[in-house]
Amino acid sequence: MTSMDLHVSPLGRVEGDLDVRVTIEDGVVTSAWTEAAMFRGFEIILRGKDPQAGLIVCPRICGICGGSHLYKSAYALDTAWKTTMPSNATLVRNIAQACETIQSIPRYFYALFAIDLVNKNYAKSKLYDEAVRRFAPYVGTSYQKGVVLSQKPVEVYAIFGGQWPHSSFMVPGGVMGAATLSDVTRSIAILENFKDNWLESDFLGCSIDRWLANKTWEDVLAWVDENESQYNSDLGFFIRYSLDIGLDKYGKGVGNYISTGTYFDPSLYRNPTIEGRNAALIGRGGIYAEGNWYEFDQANVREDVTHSFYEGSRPLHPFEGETIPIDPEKAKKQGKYSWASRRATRSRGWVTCRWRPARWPAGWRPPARTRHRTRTTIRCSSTSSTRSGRRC
Amino acid sequence: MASVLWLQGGACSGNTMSFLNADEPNVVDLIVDFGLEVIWHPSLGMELGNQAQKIFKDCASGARKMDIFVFEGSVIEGPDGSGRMDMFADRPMKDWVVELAAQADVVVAIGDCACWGGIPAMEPNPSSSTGLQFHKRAKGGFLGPNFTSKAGLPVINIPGCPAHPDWITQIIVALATGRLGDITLDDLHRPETFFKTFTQTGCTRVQFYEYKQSTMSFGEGTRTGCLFYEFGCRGPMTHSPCNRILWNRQSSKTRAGQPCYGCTEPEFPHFDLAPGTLFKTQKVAGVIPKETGTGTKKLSYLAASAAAKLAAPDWSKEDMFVV
Repeated sequence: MTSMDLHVSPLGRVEGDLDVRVTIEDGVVTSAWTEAAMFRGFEIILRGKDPQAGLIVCPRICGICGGSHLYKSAYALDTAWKTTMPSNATLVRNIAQACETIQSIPRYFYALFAIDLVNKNYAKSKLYDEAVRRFAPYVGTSYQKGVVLSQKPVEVYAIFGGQWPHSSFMVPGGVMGAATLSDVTRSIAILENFKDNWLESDFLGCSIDRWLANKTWEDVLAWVDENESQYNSDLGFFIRYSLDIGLDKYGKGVGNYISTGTYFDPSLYRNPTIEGRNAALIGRGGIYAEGNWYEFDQANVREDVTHSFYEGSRPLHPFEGETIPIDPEKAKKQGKYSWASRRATRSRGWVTCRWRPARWPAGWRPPARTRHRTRTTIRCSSTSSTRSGRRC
Repeated sequence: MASVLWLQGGACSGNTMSFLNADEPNVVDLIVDFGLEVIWHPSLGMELGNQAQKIFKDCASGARKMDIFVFEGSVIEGPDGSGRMDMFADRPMKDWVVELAAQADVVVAIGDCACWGGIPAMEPNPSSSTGLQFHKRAKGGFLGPNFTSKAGLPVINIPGCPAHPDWITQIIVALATGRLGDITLDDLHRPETFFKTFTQTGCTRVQFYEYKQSTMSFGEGTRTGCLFYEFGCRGPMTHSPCNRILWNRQSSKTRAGQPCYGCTEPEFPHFDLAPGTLFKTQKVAGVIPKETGTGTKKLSYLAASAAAKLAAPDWSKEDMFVV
């Protein structure tokens, strides 16, 4: 048996600071450790500050998803202070958050992920030259267009919130600005343009509705072959290329997924509460584990720092959480190896994938009210599960 | 043609995300038209692990030419000066910073964390974060007050939380096209072309400031009024071009009804976000703003305010930014 240890430091392009250690035996990864390498201490910094300080500070946890931290910080304050949310404020928060999410799709896919597809190790594939033409860093045709256009959805965020990244325009009880006619019409035009000139034309090769009609993997495979436009879109090509280079054969996650859900029906969440949250969600949350679906209940969440560079080894609910950092050199002697903690739901002790693809299987239930929503679902037969960074 | 090595310390990557929003030039233009060579970047670089480490080692030893060293995020010195709270390529990131800063022609700090310590340096500064050449307003930081790069410059600071894409791309283009001499720096090492004006310069609400008409109801669209008097806007005290060069080609905080938080100044976040300081103008005797616009004198300011209020036209007391 041949055994090899590989330490990848740094593992770039994860929107975080990550090292990976793997042991490979006879060509198969038998153990993998992801080590978050950097600490700033937000939980410690926020103590003793103005209760609204999270609106300024929490977005700075992350630059690509900072708005999601603002969104949740605002709702935490709404819940704690029992505010009443005007309908338009709920809608504006939803729209802004959706725009941040949409921005991250081409930005992540082309700039952070797809350049790996031009790795020389894949050169034997008949589709390799095409992959290079589309995805090569900085010069790929799809790379250039997708990365530059990724800035468009967050123009809408700036219309409502002043700027992106790092606005703090969501405040307890609503949002700071109210739209004018030109704000609304301009926002619609920007998103229509984005849809026509990238999402449906280049990425999908079909309408959003056609893509959303796919319900199974078999549907997706049939979709690829359905016509030339879909076959040759970036997504159609990506699926074909991934199958050709074998990405469907390794790097599968554990198969359990968790999502807390997002976007609220304005009529069902006028007074945000913990108990009322699940029922008000448009983008459903939930847990998909061992083939079954379960409701997400925040009371079951535990954070475990046994293997993390903090004092403590008991799983604690986040409300009871402690953040006492330890020097990594000392901590490693206690078997701790990362600044990231492990989160699980208590009742089954499942390990779940909280990364981007989790939103799809975990949230696959009808929304609070049946309504058409614009969403792209990317079924990534992605590389190893260690691609998830600290912040995702 | 200029080569850039861009690393991140105690960072969120917000400046990178802002940079990717650049337009005219956009990121692709920079590389294809302006001949920028991105040696490596943590979000964009192809190389991982040992392949990436070779790049860093070659730049650090001088074996590979590196024109510009860009640092985003704070320099983390914790715990206890070891730097182990930010490990990168098997060493504390701060050790890489020392070696790379010594080799580059020009060193650029992008964003508040790299300029002054930023958010991670808020009390109690759990990671012992600091800026490259400043800690808040005090000159020094990690590299020390006397540091100069090979081209004889101190660290060039492009602050903001995040920095605007144009502040980044246009300085890089200037450096890359040999227009270093056109860049004048203020006493905080910020390029004056961006940082001599105020956030208030070009604010759409400035007429309400002029007539001392305050927004009274926060968040109700702020369809009228100035945010300085009640809601803690730091526009008159903050050096930025936010209302001259718009964000995302659309707007700015104050145009969208949000107070300026003063994020291009070293004290950001101001008052350390102590209880009662957020979205709230700090006042003396509940009436007079503690801080008035940069350069104003309190007594003459009060006299001007009284006169301005008297002169205020009726429209300044009504909604203006309407549907």
